[in-house]
Amino acid sequence: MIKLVERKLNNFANSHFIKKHINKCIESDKFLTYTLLTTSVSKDVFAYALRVHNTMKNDEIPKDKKSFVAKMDAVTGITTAIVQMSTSILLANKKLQEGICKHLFSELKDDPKKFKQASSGFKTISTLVGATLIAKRIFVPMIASPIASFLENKHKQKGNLK
Amino acid sequence: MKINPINNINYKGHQSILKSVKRAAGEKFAQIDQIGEGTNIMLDFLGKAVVVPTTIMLVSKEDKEKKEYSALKNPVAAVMQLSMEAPILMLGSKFVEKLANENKLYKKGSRISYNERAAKEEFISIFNAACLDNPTMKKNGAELIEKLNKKGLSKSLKEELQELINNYGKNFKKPLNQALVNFDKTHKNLYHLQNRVCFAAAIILTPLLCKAEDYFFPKVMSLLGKKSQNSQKTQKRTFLSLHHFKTQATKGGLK
Repeated sequence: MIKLVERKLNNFANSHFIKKHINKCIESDKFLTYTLLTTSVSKDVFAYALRVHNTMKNDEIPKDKKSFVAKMDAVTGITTAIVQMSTSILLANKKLQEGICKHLFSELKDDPKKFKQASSGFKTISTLVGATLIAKRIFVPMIASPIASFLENKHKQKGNLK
Repeated sequence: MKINPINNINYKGHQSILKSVKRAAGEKFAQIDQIGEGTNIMLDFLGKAVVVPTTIMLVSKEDKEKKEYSALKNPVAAVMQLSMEAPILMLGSKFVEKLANENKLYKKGSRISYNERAAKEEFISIFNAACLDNPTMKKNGAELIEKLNKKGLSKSLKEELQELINNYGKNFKKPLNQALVNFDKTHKNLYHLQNRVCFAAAIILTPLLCKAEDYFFPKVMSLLGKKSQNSQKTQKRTFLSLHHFKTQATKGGLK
């Protein structure tokens, strides 16, 4: 078993895709930031997709509620992905970052190398914090809740009609 | 004698504090290194454990009890998630590092290297040869090598080593710089590989993690619910006894 894992890992580590990907992660901070965001978003989306799948397969949930619960999870998953990615694109904006860094690291202007390093570090951290802490945890519930209540009302109306 | 107005002194003081804070922040951001899945996991944890409960307590219009339950639910889920994701990252990284250092991730003809141990040994052997040539380098570099052995290579340590090599490297300047660049590149290759492998492992294990969370989460929550109910009962009892005391007091004191 371990031999098989070793062989698979060796193939993975030496594959053309991974070699190219690692080189890009080392060369570009922007690429690294987007990679980390993509991994974070894809974990969430996969977990939500799994929840939708489990709900649809769960016979304990009444049939009329099943599709509603699944829809809710799907909406939250999609909102999470869209809001996080758009926030990160907005925060990684070159002009915005340059403006903030110029003001924030004005004391490092005499050392261009350090200024560049600080700006790059700030860009990565601010984008990740903005997308993972603020967008995902504050904006997503704010957007997903009205959608959820809209869906719930629609579901209730349908029930009344029947 | 001229006395500066108080406001002016304060303003100058604030300015210098602000300047030093800005410089310190700049230095800290410049040293940021090794941003990876660990950062993602930590930010996710902070979001669930701190940001969500704070937002719920501040914004939610539900009644207090519901609000408290929702606010408590998230830190519990965050701790559970962290306790499952952190071991995957740590154990997975160790496993990949072990394979890489045993040369099991090497492929003939491949340009990329993950064997950090070999790259480090190569650098240290050239460094030792340079030290024989130049005792000043040995004296100034001993502390840096100790740091390297204890904590591994970091952005700041690499810069310090580069400075040392450029100042005292003499004939070894070129091979030492080359070995350091190679060591740094291998270190980063391994780090990013560890991150991608752990991400793949987390995705593969997501169904299991979800099941474990679904199984343990209600149990932990009901346990916490029982505790809070008990504490509420105790609070009620205290309140009743106080009430009793007050009534008795107005009636002429406790007998």
